[in-house]
Amino acid sequence: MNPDSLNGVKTPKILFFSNIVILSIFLMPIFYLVYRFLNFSTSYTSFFNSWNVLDLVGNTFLLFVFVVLSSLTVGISISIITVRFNISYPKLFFTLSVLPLVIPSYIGALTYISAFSSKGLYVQLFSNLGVTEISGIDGFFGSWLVLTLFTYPYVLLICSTALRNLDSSVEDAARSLGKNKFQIYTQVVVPRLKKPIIFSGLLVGLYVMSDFGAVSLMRYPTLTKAIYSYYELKIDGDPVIFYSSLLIVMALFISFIQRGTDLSKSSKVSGTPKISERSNLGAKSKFFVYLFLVFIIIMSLILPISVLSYWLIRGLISGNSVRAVFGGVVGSLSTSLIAALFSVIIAIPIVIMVSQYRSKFGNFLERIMLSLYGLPHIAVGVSILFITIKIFPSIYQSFTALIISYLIVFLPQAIATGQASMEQVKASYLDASDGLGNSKFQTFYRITLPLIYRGLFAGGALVFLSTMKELPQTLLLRPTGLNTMAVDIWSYASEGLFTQAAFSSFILLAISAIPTYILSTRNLTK
Amino acid sequence: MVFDSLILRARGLSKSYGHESVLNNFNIDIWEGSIFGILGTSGSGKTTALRMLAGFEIPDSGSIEMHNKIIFNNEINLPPENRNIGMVFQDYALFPHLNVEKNIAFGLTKQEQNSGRLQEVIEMCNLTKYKNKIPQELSGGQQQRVALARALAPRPEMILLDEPFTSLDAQMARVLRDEVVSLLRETETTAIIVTHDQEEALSICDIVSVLENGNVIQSATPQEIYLNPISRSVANSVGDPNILKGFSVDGRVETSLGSFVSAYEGALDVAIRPECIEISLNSTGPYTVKECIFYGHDQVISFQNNKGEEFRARSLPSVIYEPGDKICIEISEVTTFPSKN
Repeated sequence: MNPDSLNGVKTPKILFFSNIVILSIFLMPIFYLVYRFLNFSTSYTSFFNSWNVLDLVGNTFLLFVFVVLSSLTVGISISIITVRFNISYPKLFFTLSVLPLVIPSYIGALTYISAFSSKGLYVQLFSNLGVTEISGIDGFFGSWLVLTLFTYPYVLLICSTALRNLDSSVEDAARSLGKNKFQIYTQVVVPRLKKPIIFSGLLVGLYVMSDFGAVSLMRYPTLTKAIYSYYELKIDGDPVIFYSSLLIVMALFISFIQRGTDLSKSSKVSGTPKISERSNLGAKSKFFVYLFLVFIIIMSLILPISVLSYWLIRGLISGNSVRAVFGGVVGSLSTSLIAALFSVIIAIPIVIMVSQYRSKFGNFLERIMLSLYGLPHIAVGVSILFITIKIFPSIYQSFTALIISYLIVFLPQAIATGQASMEQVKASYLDASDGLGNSKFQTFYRITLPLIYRGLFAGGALVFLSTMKELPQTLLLRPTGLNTMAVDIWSYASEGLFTQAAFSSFILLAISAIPTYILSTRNLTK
Repeated sequence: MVFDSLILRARGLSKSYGHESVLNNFNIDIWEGSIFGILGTSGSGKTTALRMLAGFEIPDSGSIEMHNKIIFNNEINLPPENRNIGMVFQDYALFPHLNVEKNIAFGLTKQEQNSGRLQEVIEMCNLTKYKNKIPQELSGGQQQRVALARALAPRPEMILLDEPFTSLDAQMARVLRDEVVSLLRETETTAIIVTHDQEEALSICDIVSVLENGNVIQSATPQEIYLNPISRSVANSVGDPNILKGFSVDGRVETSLGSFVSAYEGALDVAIRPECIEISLNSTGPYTVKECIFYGHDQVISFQNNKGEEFRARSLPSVIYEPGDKICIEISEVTTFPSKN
């Protein structure tokens, strides 16, 4: 990653050992699941017979395939439209299309359920027109719709960046070799986007596979929903462990393929890329393009926000008080801040080890950390839950266990941004500093830290955001008495208490807007 | 070399971005089978000119004809894919998702690929060994060959080369330059080469156009450009002449280095190339050696007259000159042009 790194320089011992400790904590959930898996009291075949495993896996897979395909279609289309076509306000359309990214899947599901269920908004609004009953949006269709609408922005972000960085002199070359404008897209542009397309598609797939919020509210039986149902029944740990292991294996497989698509190679160009000019569209095609953009923005942004606003106002009119959501706000803020702080502190030694001392262990560490990124949150939560019950009862249902579980899942975000900012720390700077008489620690303090602190801050902000939206781990591990907004929203939504759910959702979105805005407007890694 | 038919004619091509004019009334005539050079510094508009000929950039005005058929004017604009003009890009623009063979085959139809044309081009450009590699695995010189092979494969009417040797190191550039030129000559391909390198332009082109600030200042054979530049800036853009001020009366101009025949009257610039000044050691000579820079194949001697004015001469490396040596000079060739101010 960094060609200027100190090859062959020995890693300081303190760095090495702190990383060993971090690594073992991080691998613990997987090892524990493997251990439990090998020591089941029942036979494996009976799992398949008794708990409709194949159905659950099939459902999960079906949702995976459909959401990935639809997300890719929407995301790639909007990328090409906003980057390459001559439409009015391309930046505005782009920003509005990316915004649904901040809406967690359970809030998205909440808005569609609360709008279209039998006692939902649609029926209430049109009851005097004779509408009394509608079939509602739930199950596979509901999960597919909601997950597509709130995951396509990942595809849009990744593919539009890649599209913008495509050196268009290659397209000029293709034209000089006799290809027309349409052939350029099929033969040069899309093939060159193959890696970002696969990468973002699998990212969406991982999201779908690990999603708990949307499928549970939509009552679509997938692995994650089954894990939570069995946990709630509390009859026996085996099925929970079994499904979690299965989910982890599937996720690791997907993230393994995903990491095989090395994005850095495909987007790398020599020098500054030549920027392609926007192509003109005919009036008729322009109309359909606008229609498409507006439709997607209404479905993924305007409708959810309007529905939430409606319930919020109704709740306020009927006298919902702030006190009901206060506990959740405090719980969310405290857990998120602490998780963010610790993620930054832990990321520093790892980032330094990986970037500056490219030892074999560093490489190994990096690989492990990257593969942890795809871990389904609910499975990690389950593993930590059982570890605390069986091995460390002293931290069972404690704040510590909850934070550890968050960190295992979210630390890769802090590491990735830290790594990106670490690229600026050239080995020659460090040599120069050493040569001017600074100790290793002084060099870190005077050179490395000032160069990477913005990146670390950005990483912390990302972890803060993710923790705030996190649902399944909090549900499984929260100490008695701790509530977060995510938990509130989900519980109220499951019970059909839409006005309360909308209240918390609004506060959650408002608070997340701040770090999201900072992250999106400034390049914090440089 | 004799060329008898015109393949491309561009007249009055202009282009500006906002208020900034990049190309101003650009005219060229390209003869079939010739290698044509456009020489200019960066920002002179040479790449814009090339991209207009290829069809990537739309001129604000002017016209382009190929084989006496209009391919661009204010009504017609033949898209680049139908111009049958090949292009070698400065950064090569090889398709990173295709291997060498597929890159070269890109502009060929299925029938053409199977007819043996593909193999022919690959062999012609010495790329057989590399045909299964992806561009990123190749050295700069090899990438350059692939770019040329790809452009040549569909047998274009002509090919345009944008600073083709700039990204290579000097030795590699020289080797490839020879290869490319002999390939172009062998296949009788018309070529336009855009370059900022005067040696490159002079050594490989049949005709050179000197471009400055979007204007063509002179188009002529390399010899003509070098020996009879029409202005001081052309003289400066090819070689590094001594420029002397003078005033011409009755066809003769007096300068600090002597008096010469002049085609113009009045205030003049006189350009004398360092290699046109022959020097010899002479203890009573009127000039004093100030500095001598040794290049191997030759040396450049800076010398002064008694007024302290400084000049440069180029001579063979055999004689050693030391600062302070007295010398005589003999001037074989001068060029004069009217002074601008």
